[in-house]
Amino acid sequence: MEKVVNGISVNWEVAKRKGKDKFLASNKHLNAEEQLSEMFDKVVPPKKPEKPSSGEKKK
Amino acid sequence: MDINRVDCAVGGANTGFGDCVLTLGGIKKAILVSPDFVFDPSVYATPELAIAALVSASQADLPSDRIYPLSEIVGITNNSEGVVTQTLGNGTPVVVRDGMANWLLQYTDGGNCVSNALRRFNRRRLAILFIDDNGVLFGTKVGQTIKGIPLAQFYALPFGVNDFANIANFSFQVIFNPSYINEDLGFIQLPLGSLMQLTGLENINLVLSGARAVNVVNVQAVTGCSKLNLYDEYSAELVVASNWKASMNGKAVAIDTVALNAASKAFTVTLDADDPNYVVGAPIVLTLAAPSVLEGNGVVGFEGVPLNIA
Repeated sequence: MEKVVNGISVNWEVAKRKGKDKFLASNKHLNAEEQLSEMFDKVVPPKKPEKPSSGEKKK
Repeated sequence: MDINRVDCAVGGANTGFGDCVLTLGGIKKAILVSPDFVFDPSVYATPELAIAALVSASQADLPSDRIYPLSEIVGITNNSEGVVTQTLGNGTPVVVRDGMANWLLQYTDGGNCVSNALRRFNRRRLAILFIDDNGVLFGTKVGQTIKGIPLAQFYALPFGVNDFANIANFSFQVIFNPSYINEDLGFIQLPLGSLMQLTGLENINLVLSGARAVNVVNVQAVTGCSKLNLYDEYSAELVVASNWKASMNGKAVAIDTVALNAASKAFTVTLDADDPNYVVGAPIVLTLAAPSVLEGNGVVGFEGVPLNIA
């Protein structure tokens, strides 16, 4: 069974397509922004900023 | 093969019998099936697997593939036509044909709700299986399989009024050629208790519990007959997004989220307004997923009825 958190079930296919900001905006009426944000981050972990590779020359 | 040759096979058959013979008992239950439905007991290694197959068929996603177990039979009136005879000129009566079987079967479980559901089968092309009080499931034998008895007519009667001496009468009539359960009888004995527990799918009606807000709707899920709100019993199972389906102008629109609305014992369904099939302002048709999907999510024995939302 799909995971339901605090009474909210998300269609992750749609959520991933929308991206986090648009997903949160489209579900503002649920008044659960913080929860939805946490859920989204668990399913789609935020990307870490890329470190410059060791071989890259500093200018 | 030769022409002009009559097949003069020896008639009659031996009439000896052993200790264990079939004598059909009173009919306890009936199952409406498609004329194409085939039950092949040889496929199932145990009676339990055969019962499981019948349960599965009663919950098939496609109505055309589904079998419809009816309520317990509580009375039968045999209105069958007698053997039709003709009296010849010399006074000899000769049999022209067997009369058609014509049974009126009474039930009480489900009352007016089941009666109205059955009346939607009236005059449709149908077949029927019966179950007697020994757990003998019988129909007509085709090869090594059992098929439903083809019905010349199925007719669920309007209910008879409770007249203070008799309860309201719910009954349906079946008319068929008797050869299907005489020479062509096909049967198998299964556990009666399990057969009696076969039930049909129950409708879930969706009811708007507030005005539609663009792409957001609040709906209650109630049972078709008793209008019981299923929120208390099934909220955790029904809220799963994959249980819900929406369409606009006949094209599927993805569901974004489904959330519980405890205050109104309803479900807040948000459609994906970015879906290419989403049309601003167009009516929404909201329904539940196929019975097998609902079952996978813990909502067993139900089918959703689509709701049109302007």
